[in-house]
Amino acid sequence: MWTINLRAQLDGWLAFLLVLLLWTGVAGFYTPEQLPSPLDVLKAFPELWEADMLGKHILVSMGRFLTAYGLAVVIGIPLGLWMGWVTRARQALDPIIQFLRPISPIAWFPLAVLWFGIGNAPAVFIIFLAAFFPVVVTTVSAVRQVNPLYLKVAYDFGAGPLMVFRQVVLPAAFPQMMNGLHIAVGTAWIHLVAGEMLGAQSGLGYFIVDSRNFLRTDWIIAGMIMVGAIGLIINRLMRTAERWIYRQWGQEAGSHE
Amino acid sequence: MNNVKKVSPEAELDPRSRDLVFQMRGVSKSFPTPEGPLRLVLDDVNLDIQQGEFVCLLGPSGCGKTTVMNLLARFITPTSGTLLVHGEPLVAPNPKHVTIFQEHGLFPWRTVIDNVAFGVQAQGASKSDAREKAIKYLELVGLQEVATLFPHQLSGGMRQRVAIARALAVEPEVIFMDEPFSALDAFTRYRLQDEMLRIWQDQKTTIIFVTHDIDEAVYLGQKVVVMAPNPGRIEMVLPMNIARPCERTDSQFLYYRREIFKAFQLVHEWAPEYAI
Repeated sequence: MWTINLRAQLDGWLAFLLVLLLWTGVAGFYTPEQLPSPLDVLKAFPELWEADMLGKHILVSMGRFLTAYGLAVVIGIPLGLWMGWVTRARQALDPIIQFLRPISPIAWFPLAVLWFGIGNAPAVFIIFLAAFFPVVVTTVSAVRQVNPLYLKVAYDFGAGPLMVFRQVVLPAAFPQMMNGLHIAVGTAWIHLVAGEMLGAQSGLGYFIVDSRNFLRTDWIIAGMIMVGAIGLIINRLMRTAERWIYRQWGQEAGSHE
Repeated sequence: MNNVKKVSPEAELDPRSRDLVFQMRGVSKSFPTPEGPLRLVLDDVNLDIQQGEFVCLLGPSGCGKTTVMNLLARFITPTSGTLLVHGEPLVAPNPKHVTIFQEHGLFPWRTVIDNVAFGVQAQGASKSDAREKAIKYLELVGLQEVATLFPHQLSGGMRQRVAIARALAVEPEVIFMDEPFSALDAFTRYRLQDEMLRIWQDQKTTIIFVTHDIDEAVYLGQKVVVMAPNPGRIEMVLPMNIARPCERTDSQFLYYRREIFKAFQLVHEWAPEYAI
């Protein structure tokens, strides 16, 4: 398994190196304020670290992200389960969800500021929206796609509705729900930066905007790299968890990356 | 054929019968079609099933054999006619009547032992009692070694044996089996048929076994209900007077096999438009 991974990774690293070279070449034609070279950006990291400018923003961003994502899971999963299991709940609420879902969370920003003021809340609200809809929608479809044979078997043995829901529907829907949580992590993290750029006075999004005010393009790119790196790590963690669950459930890993 | 025992529609119902688990008189079933008119899938079925009997419902697809099973299991209700369970018109499905489906329906997130324990738990037993029962019946089907594995780690035949153990664990009065072995390879199927006979002789459970395999029906059934399609109906009921388990090359076995082949030949003569 390792040798296969190594071979696949080698091409990845080569392509990455090529992009860096290209970047360095192109940067030669511009001033560092327009486009700093990779080396300039690399040098920005220790500088930012010593001034404790990056670390505190990362912590703030992670705090907001976890709060908003946690809220989306805590509200979205029960709502999705209810809508998936109870036909009337789905018929009543699905139109509303489907109507609100295509509205970009960013569009809520003016309202969020009017309602919650400046600070943590508008950003948390926007990240929450970005995670909430994928969680609800995948949970609903996860419950609806539970193999009817499982339900037939459970009822055949005389299992009551509570046992069927807890011991059959929940575990049967769990892998697909996990897939929804995985998708939601991605959308939530993407909207974190947007949310913090618009309203917040701290966090990675704010740091990127603030760096532009100082014309520190190397800091902007350093901030972007941090956003990408943390996003990648979160995504990998979710994927590992998801794979483990799929294995435990005896299914092939989902094709979703 | 002198040994054909078809229940006549006029045969009297015995409302207090303890030995007769099921009595069907003039039972018909229609389903609505997408085009609108009702389609008759089962016409005037008369059938008695004794306690402890191994009954095979045999016929080509469309003959209504699964519909008969679904009626007996109370998954559906008759359009007309009478169906008595222990002499009484039962309305709700009975948890002591369990079904084994073709696609076993094991829960992939539960280990083998917890799959077998599920039915027992569903009927109100505590988790530890259910597991004790599960072990007992896993031993009966010879799968105690794989108790902690997950279904996807087992072969198709083993999975179906787990499904059998799960059904047996609730100590059912009746087991319905809907073409349970048809997805398995021939050798596994033979083994499971032997196992099913052994379990039946051991547990004295009433078994209603749906199949389209003539050999399987003759090998297993104490009574083979031969069914025909368009509309689904009982062609004849053949009692098999064979010692069990029998040899598949036995003259008795071959005799009954030939009888059933003849029966289906008759179906062809009467309904030449029928095609499999």
